[in-house]
Amino acid sequence: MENQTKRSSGIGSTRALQIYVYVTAILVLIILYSSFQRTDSGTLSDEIYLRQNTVEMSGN
Amino acid sequence: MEKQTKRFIGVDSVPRTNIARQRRQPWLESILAVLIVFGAWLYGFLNTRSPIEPLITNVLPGTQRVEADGEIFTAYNKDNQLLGYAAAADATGYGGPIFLLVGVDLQGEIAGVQVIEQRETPGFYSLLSDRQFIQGFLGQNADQPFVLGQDVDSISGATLSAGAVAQAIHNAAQKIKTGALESTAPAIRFGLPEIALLAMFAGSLTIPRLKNRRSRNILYWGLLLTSIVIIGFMLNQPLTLANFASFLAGYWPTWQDHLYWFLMLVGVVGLAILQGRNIYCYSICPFGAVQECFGQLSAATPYLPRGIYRQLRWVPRWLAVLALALGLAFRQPGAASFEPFGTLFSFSAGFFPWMLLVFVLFASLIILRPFCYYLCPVGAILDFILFIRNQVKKIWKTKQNAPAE
Repeated sequence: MENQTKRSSGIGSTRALQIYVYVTAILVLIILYSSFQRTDSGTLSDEIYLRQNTVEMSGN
Repeated sequence: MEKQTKRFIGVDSVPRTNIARQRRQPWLESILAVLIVFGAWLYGFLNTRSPIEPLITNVLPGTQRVEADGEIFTAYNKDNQLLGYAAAADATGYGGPIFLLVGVDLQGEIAGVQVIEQRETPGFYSLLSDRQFIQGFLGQNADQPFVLGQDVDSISGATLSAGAVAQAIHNAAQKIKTGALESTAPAIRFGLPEIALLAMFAGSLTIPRLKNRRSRNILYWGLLLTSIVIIGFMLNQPLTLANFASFLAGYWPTWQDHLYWFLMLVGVVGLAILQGRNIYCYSICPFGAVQECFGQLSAATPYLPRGIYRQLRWVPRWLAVLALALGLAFRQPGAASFEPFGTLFSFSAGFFPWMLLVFVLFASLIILRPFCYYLCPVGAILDFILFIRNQVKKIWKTKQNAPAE
């Protein structure tokens, strides 16, 4: 009886470990997806910084 | 007799195929992993950068005509009057390079900057954007060396990224000024981070040589706490997957002012090859140290159930392969780094990295170092390097011991 309880608690904890690892792995996949989605723009043409009086100086 | 024969067959024939399969499996999986990573590297390599010339008008408004002379672009307006010069340059930050186009007007002042590509770790790069770091360069004389902390203010928590931007702007300005293709080499920086890292390597190598258990424990915990304070919270520069991805992508920073980067990568891998063991994860990694401290609070022990452990060990290995392949294919080493190190040591991340960190730290109270055993890509890569090292050594020894014909 005692052995059976130990075995079932052992199975329970390995199952819990499996669930934990798979859940965290899914979290990692989400993190990877959002990281690459955020920076997967190649040329970031909207990131242009200009001195404020540049346009007047160019005469246009 | 019959029983004996059965037992003989059972012992000799079935396990032999199992053993052969077990021996073959790591090799097959290693070859597959290498092929995936190499394929991703090739894909990234073949994706070339966009041409620079059409972008000149973005940093020198009013440009109608551009003349290219090597890496220097001369801009003219619609009346064919000279407007200024532009050049592109890059510098490597923490997770990857930042590639900038810089426009300089006829007064020698920086008129515009465009971020053409950046592969920096998103968390660090967003700090630069939030603090409007690049805007601070506009209108400044391009002749300046742009030394962080002297000519430009540093950004705490993103020093390497800020340094990379300053270096890239300086490099581009130097190209324009001198017409030289190569920029001047920066001064060699050797300070507390490098000294601390070398001292930690020395300490880690000393631990197994100490005979007294108490001394071993004191040194071990000394290393862990130093690692948390210096490599973790002060520098926020632990070894990450981004380091390996940057190295493989060829995004190597200048060694003179990034000695720490080279010492960390070459030191950890070199010592693993020379010593045949992974000293980094055991006593130098600050995140491992934090998990160890959490484990001490509840007297947690490692939980490695037979069978399941072998199965779950493939999770970090394939996550590492996937992240490395993505980092190389899209040439974004920084984005490949999914470890929660930065979240903990810089307190800046999105919802999911925070969630991962909470999951890991909570589990650290129940089992010892759960991230190290079941998720860490750095440990998986170092395991792979050790596997290759041991196999090469084994083949070498077999050849040495083989009788001469």
